[in-house]
Amino acid sequence: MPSDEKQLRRYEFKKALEELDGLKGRGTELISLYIPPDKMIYDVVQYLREEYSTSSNIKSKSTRKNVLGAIESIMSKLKYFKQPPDTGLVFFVGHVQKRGDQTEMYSQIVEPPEPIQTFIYKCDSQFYTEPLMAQLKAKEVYGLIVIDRKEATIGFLNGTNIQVVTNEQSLVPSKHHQGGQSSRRYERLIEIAANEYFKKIGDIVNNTFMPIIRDMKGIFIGGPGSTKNFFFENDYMFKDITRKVVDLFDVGYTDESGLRELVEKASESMKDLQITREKDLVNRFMKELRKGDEGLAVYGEAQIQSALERKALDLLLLSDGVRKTKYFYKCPNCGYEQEFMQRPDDNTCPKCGGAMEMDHEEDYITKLYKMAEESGATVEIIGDESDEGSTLKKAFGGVAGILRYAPTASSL
Amino acid sequence: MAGQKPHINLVTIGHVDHGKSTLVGRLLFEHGEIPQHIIDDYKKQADEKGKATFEFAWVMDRYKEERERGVTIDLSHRKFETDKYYFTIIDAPGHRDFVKNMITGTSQADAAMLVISAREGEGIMAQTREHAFLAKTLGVQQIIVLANKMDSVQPPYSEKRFTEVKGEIEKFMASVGYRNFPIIPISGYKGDNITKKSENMKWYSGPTLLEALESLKVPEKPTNKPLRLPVQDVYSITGIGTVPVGRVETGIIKPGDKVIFMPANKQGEVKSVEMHHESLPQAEPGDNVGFNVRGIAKNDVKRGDVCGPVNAPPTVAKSFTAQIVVLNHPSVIAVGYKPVFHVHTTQVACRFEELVKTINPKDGTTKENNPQFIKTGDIAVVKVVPDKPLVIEKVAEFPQLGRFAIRDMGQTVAAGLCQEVETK
Ligand SMILES: Nc1nc2c(ncn2[C@@H]2O[C@H](COP(=O)(O)OP(=O)(O)OP(=O)(O)O)[C@@H](O)[C@H]2O)c(=O)[nH]1
Ligand SMILES: [Mg+2]
Repeated sequence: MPSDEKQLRRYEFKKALEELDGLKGRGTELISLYIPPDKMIYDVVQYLREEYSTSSNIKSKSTRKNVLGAIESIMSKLKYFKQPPDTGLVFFVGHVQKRGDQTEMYSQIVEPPEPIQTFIYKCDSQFYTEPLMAQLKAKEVYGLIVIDRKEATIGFLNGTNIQVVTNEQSLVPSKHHQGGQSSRRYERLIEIAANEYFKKIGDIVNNTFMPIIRDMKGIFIGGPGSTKNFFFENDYMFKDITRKVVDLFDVGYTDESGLRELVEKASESMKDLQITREKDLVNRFMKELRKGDEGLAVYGEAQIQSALERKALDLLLLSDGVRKTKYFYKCPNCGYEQEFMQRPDDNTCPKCGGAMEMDHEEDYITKLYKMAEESGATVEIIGDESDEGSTLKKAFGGVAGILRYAPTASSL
Repeated sequence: MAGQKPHINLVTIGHVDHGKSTLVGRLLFEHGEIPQHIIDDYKKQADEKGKATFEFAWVMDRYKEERERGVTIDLSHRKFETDKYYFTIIDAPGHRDFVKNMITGTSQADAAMLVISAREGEGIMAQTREHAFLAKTLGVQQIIVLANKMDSVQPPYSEKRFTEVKGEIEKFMASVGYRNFPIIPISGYKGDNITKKSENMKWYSGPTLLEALESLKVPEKPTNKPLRLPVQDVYSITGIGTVPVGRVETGIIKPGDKVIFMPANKQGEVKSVEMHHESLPQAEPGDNVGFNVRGIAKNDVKRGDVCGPVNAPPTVAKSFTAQIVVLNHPSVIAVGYKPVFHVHTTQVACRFEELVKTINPKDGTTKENNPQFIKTGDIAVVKVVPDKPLVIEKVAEFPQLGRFAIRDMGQTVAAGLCQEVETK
């Protein structure tokens, strides 16, 4: 299985967005410009010209200067495009605040992963990143229902994330109080109460799923025993919803854990679900761990790096949430070099006392990714939204892998 | 009448279709609790539904869905008196999807009847194992094993087959931690060795089921502790009001008591207490009661809440520290893992927050501090955080409310005891 290039791009894209999100202008002087793929560049330039003349009236001298500078910069870059790329173009340009009082010209051009829908021009003290963030989130949505006579839970599977919409307790009496003579009557009352309860759950399902029924890929229903079949077969839900039901599964619980069990069961029949792929990968790693010394599992930066260097790694698992950048500093006086995990507050050279300067920075995840590519290991970036994903990040530092062969004492 | 004879709660456990409900129906029938014409009636109806031979099971299986499929879904409670004891029989389901109900029933039991089909190719099966482990975990001390369906082994009522099954059972039960229990060859459907010695198995000299029940020991009654009553169900009965039901674990409950339900945090005054439709002046540990509470509305209280005295309310955990043993996990358990915890009558997903240490089973010393992960066979001290408010008590103070089972993806993966509770 070759590594998915897309994953690295997604990772880098997300990282860039997070960076952008943290930037601030001193005034309203940061420009965000979203150009849909079918927009003529000529029209954009025309629009920017008008903005330019309006902006010449800005009162604050420095803001005016910065805004005009940013617009000029965008116009000059647009010259290189005959037409926007397939998914459109996004510009983020402006003077951003640095430490202390300084500002610095910042300019970023992004080709979005999905097509831009509408033309947006925004000048604000922050960059406008929401449309791109939303693109990252736009994933497959499935509807989830688990139900028995005691309770029901309704939710969504959104990419790798299970969201609970509601949990309803039924209050349908169970057998506890059944008595001798009146038992027939009691049984009838129970069935009436059950019907009321199914109706109520049907209404909730209709109200929850109908507004987005077109965007849902499918619906799964789960629960112990035959109650779920009864609910499904008896018109408690709208036809449009029933039609979207992919399958029914036996699951033991009808609360949030039931939703998770349902997704697990459903994914056996739908191998292409992203959440399944991720769970499977992490589970493979955990199963190797269980084997102890004979197992093929490794984790932690040092072990992984050494395995990569030996070209012994088969699969590299990286948590999406792990952000590690290393900063390399150099002293221009004496040539001393030092590496930091964070930008240092104190950049005095320990050797000569001069001021060190940053030479370059290196993204740790990107570096591991490249090393893995070179050694032929498959790389998977695992989201931290699923339970397995969060375990990978929390318990194993977000860096783990599976070896090609069992380590011998000498290779460790 | 309850209160005069000691009360024992008995749960039936065992693999699906091994004959639990049939056995209970038969026992009640032979003991005169169910008239012949009801059984005849059930037999006719069951035959019509294509569910022949389920007539005895129908005594306990009362839902439409249960009768149509011939599978028990939910617990049912029936009283049953012998010369010596007042029993509440709790018939539990055997199907793997309903283990959660079985756990609730078992958490209320003082003793268990483990039903195992002795038929060739049946014997000890997946839920036989899971249920036996769960009974042990949840503190059921006394157990009676029934080798059932002796009428349809080859040849019928074969001593050889019984000896074979008995050997397997003894070996298995020792691995669970049960010793010195009767193994009785029976037929629940035909009625061999239930209340009378079977003519078909003269080779067997041990007790009948009824004799074995009479020789159970009376469980101790922790009446001196504050009241703890985990709610199994809540009924709202027109004209009467809200009636929670459940088993008294510790302390006493009686009309006039001011009680509080946690985590619901709702208070009220007990108006009446009844067991199997008879009202009681007071209920003691072991009593399975319904009680009416003034000041509590329909939706105020739900399954899994625990009732206690206002001046010593049940403990609500923000997190808790427990010693667990990993029974059967396909991979490893690490921080972030979130399975379902079954405590008394409730189920709550809990996240492993910290693996404090692993322990040497031989001497209880620490094996490793803060291990990265634990696996099957390990005994460990862990800290977990419930997904939603949960009543759990230190096992040293309230053993019945400090034990739990951990399940994930359709199987029991671990069991444990609560040692410390961090409250809000
Ligand atoms: N031949 C024979 N059949 C039996 C005996 N006991 C039960 N059965 C049959 O086994 C089937 C299942 O019986 P149940 O009593 O419903 O089994 P159960 O253990 O209660 O099943 P669940 O509650 O669904 O787990 C029925 O067809 C019974 O007639 C027995 O002693 N002999
Ligand atoms: Mg049954």
